[in-house]
Amino acid sequence: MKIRNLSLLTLLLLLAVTDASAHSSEGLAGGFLSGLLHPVQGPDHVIAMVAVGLWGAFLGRPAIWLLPIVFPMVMAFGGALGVAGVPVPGVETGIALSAIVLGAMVAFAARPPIWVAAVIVGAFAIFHGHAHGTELPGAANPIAYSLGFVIATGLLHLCGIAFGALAQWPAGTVVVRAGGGLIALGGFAFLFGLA
Amino acid sequence: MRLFFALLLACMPGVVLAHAPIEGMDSFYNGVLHPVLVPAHLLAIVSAGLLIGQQGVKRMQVPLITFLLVLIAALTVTGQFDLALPESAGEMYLLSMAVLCGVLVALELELSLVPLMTIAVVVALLVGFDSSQPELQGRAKLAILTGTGVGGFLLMLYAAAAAEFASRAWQKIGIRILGSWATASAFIVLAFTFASAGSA
Repeated sequence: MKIRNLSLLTLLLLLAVTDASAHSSEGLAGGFLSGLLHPVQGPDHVIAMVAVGLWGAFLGRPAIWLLPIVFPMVMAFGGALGVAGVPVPGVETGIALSAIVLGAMVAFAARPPIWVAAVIVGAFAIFHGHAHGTELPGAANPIAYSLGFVIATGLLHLCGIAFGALAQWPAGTVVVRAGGGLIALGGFAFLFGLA
Repeated sequence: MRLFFALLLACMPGVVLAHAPIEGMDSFYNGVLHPVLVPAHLLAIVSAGLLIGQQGVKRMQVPLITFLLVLIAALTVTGQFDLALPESAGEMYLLSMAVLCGVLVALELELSLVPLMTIAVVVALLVGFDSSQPELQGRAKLAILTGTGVGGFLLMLYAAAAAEFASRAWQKIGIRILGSWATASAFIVLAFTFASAGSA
């Protein structure tokens, strides 16, 4: 009886066999899509990333290109800490603070030296990278996931830069600074758990 | 009973492939898409191509031809002798090259011919030896490896051309941003690979 059950079970298992693939296209697409959606699905990430681009555009050259180059590279360092399981205290607080600080910089039209701007943006990039990095080990395809979230982050910067381009007109400057103020308010809402 | 199971097993094989092809496409086109669909190959080739293209049309010619010749040689050897890098090692080396080339692209450094050719040779060898297809034989194997050579070289050529054509300031910035994206993606996965190896 037991042997018959075992045979039946073996037969069922054989019928459930699927192809084994080291690089499955489903895993590739799924990994890329989940990476692409990860920054977009977190509104706190979204407003902070838009703020980076917005501040870069507001500061003009060379910040407009330096900040979007610095951010992903420092974010990768934060991501590496995340995947290595190195704890970074207050990641969510850091992300909310990034929206507050970067939004406030735009709202108050702060124009610090370029290295100060790069240090501020780079410091917050570690928190964002850590948050994305901790999700990576569970991704269907880690490389596709990392490519997805880096591209999504860059495209959010681009949205901020496009919006920030309005600052070349006097009325646009008011709109951009108001946008910065809204981002800072959004950051406060995330910090105090209101959103 | 044993004969029954032996027959049943013979009827139920699942094809095990190192790099799953797209069903419905023939071997050559699967080979063409291979460097695009394996992210480590894509990152390494594109970042190396951007770096070579950034150096201008005169300085990019020799590294591009070198890349093509070495890629053909590596694919020939891997096809003939089924030589292959261990999958995790191949991926790690390709990602390391992507990090290096991405950083150099982001910094927009002018390089002499020797480092450019070294990069072209290393990337071509890694791509070639990481594209072995031991499960295929005969014409199918020849077609997929030929396709991989064509796809790999076209990818390198397009990336180099995109960087070379970028003449306006914002276009050059775009190329540098692409370099930083490649570095970031590859660096995080490298960290993940090392962390996984350390915990294993």
